[in-house]
Amino acid sequence: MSYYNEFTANTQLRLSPFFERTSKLNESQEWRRWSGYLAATNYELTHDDEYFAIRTKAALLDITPLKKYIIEGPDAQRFLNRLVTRNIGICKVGQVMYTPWCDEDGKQIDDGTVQRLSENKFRITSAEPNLEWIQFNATGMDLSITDDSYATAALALQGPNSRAILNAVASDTLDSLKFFWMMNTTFGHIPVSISRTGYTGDLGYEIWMDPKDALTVWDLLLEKGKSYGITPTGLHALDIARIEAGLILLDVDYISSRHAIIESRKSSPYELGLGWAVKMKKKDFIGKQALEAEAARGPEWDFVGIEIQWNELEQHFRKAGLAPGLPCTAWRTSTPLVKGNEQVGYATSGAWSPLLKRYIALAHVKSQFAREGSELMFELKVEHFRKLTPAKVVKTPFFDPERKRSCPV
Amino acid sequence: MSRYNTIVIGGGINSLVTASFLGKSGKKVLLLEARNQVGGLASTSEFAPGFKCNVINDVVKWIDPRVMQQLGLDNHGLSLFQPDVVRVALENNGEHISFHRDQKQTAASIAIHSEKDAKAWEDFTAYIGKLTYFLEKLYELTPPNLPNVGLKEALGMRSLLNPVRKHGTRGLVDLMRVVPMMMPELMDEWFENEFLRGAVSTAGIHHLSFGPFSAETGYNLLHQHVHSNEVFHNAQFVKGGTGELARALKSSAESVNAEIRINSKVSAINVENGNCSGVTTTNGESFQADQVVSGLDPNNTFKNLVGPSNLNPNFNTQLNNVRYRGSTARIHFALNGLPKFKGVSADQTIAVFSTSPSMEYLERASDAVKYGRLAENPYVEFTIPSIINSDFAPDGKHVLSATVQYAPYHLRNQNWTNDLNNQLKNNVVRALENYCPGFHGMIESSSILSPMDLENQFGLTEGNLNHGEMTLDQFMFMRPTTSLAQYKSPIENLFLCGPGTHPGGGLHGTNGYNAAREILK
Repeated sequence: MSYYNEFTANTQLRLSPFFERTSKLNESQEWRRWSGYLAATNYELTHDDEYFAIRTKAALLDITPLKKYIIEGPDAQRFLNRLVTRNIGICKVGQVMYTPWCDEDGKQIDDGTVQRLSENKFRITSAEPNLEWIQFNATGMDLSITDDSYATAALALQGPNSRAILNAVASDTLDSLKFFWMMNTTFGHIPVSISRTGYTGDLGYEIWMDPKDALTVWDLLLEKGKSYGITPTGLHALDIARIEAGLILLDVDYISSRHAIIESRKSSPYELGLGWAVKMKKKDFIGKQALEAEAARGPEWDFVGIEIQWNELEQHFRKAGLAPGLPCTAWRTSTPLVKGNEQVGYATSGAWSPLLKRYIALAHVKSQFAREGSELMFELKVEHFRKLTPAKVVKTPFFDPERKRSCPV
Repeated sequence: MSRYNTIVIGGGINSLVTASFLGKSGKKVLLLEARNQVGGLASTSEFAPGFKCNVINDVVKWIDPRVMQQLGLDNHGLSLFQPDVVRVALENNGEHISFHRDQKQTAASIAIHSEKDAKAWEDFTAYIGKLTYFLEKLYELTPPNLPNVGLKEALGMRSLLNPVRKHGTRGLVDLMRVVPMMMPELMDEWFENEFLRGAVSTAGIHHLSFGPFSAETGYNLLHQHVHSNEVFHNAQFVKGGTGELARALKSSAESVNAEIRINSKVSAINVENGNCSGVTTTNGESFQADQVVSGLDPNNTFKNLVGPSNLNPNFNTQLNNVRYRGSTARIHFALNGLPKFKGVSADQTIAVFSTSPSMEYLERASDAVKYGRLAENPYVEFTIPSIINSDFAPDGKHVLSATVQYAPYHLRNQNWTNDLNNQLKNNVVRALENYCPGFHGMIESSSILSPMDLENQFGLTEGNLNHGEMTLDQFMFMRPTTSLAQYKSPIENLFLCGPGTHPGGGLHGTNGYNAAREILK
């Protein structure tokens, strides 16, 4: 007797419109919760191939769990300029801006992208739900706010071959689509919008569509992408890629000021390496006064990349009679950074970069110890015992390929 | 574009007081009033051909003595009239209680209903007088900015020790007890007669949206009796109408070169980077100033004029939490003669009348607010202003102006329409018919101001006459919000001077006086 093993998920988590496909492709059946959705951790038993797809081929990720809000109306620009720290006034139609947003004490609530869909219509994407904050600050303004999270499905296609695949599928060429710009096109008869954005720091795109078209789009991409090595990719691979790209993650690298139960858990954009995204010349925005004051006195913390020195690490393990043991996935445990006898920082996420062959991490470091080249000691556990091993402050992104920004024409 | 030291928005009593004091200190002041006359809630105007009325307030309960003296309002034509009989609580059979300036007469009137209560009366008024003395001192101060009270702020409040010295800590304890009390508790301690208890309780619910069985009505009762010299239900009238108080203040402001413009509605307070630089009016004129002072309520000032894009989220939350909920309506009747009330003598007709048979009657009337409907049997307080001011009505005719509770701004399953206004009027007429049979037939015309009308015509948020409920959570350093309690605002150079600030509503001008002091600091 044979039977048909249907993939179903006995879960209260939301299933993405791509689940019909991803559930069957997910060989490992490893899932994790992402914004209330069931999201694939890795499709194969290990994430290695998926990681290399991001860096050498093309990785396809279901990013539907992202929170998406549509802000539309005559006051939309005025409102967003008030809400976020970057200057939305200079964001042209079809442009996308990455930006943090803060509370009035200048502490970061979340970060995400703002897409200008038309003169008076924007889409905000974010990791966490922000609807209440958005609505609250928009009271009295002439605009409408729609939580578009369930009404828009999204895929990320990331990696050196992503453009070629999209050119093969889309009715318009993507050759001239610049980094952090977007365009509307069709896949056959299906309207999609494509933004040249992503969370990998590589050449890559995000594709926004109606959920009813989700499966057709998925099938089209897999079919046309086959010869380009398109690979369904899960969150483990993404996590390594985003650390290499030096991109922060909410609830891992920082805590939203709305959830922090003590002051010291909050961070300002300056303390998260996002000072470049705070536009002081802009008219009043939420948190401006506090950020001005912070900029004047100098932020207490900095957010930097560190590289844990290999030779010394290797010796620690050798002394214990072991070969160097490295975590095979990215880690998210806060790890102390020491200078002399004093703890001067902590790393919040790190990974062995298979591409760079370097052990890297993202870290909060007190400003006076945060300049490039600064030498710190990183706490390492070797066979149950804590050791200190040297680490150096280095520039981020750790990996920053030319192709991320370049256009063929 | 013209430049001034200070622009005052609104031409109500407090705005005029602030403008006067700022002008007096040499500031170049411009006051902008949206309506066609200054005065705000102290306006007098024609409501029917040949009939005038005091639009909102017939009575001035108290005026801040500092305002009276320092502005020399007598010299600006202000003439107050203090009747011997201040209040008549109407009773169906004509056995009214009359409240007199002379307490012995009041006690005699009470004695008809209860000898025991009559004996307690003088002690009661002395007790209330003792407690209001604390408030008088408290009202003169700018509330502290809690929790950041330093030595300087603490020393600034030392005048509060005067009432403690005079009445001891016992007085302070009594104050702490009475302020949060509800009327039945206070009345239980003093009086047995239900009619008297109702008549006294009306002071506790004046312009509130809740009834005598609500906590904190004790505070409102005391607030009505500040500077009343132990005269319970104190009432004084402005000769020529309440509008004359505004006229005297206008004259005072103009004597110190304040420029007053009517028909100038401010459409925006100009704010850049948290800094206020001036105002723009609906006809497109812009005025620059070092400071802007708003006599409007916090909602109008910040939500409507400053605009939400200039308000920080925390501050915005505080503004959202200010309670307004106006539940008081006004009705003016043009009458073809002087209404006759059984048992009311001619010398009593100038007083304020109340229809308050019992505390329970008042409480039932207040139920209407809870259920979002009109009180079918409302509490009505009225005067006949045409007796003192003969020019208010043609010869032989009269005006009866009623203050009606409860007519809530927020209605359930209905809206404020002409029909509902008429229903409100009919309820009032029916209530008055109980005491003045044939009243209905005397009405030539009438003018109704529901809380919705008050919002539309006077810019009062939700029609609240106090610019925010007079409750303990909106008292002193919490009035209107903790970040606005020092007459300053989170926006640099923008101040508040209206009744939304400490110490609340009334035609006393204390808010305006205190605000001017803070601005000049």
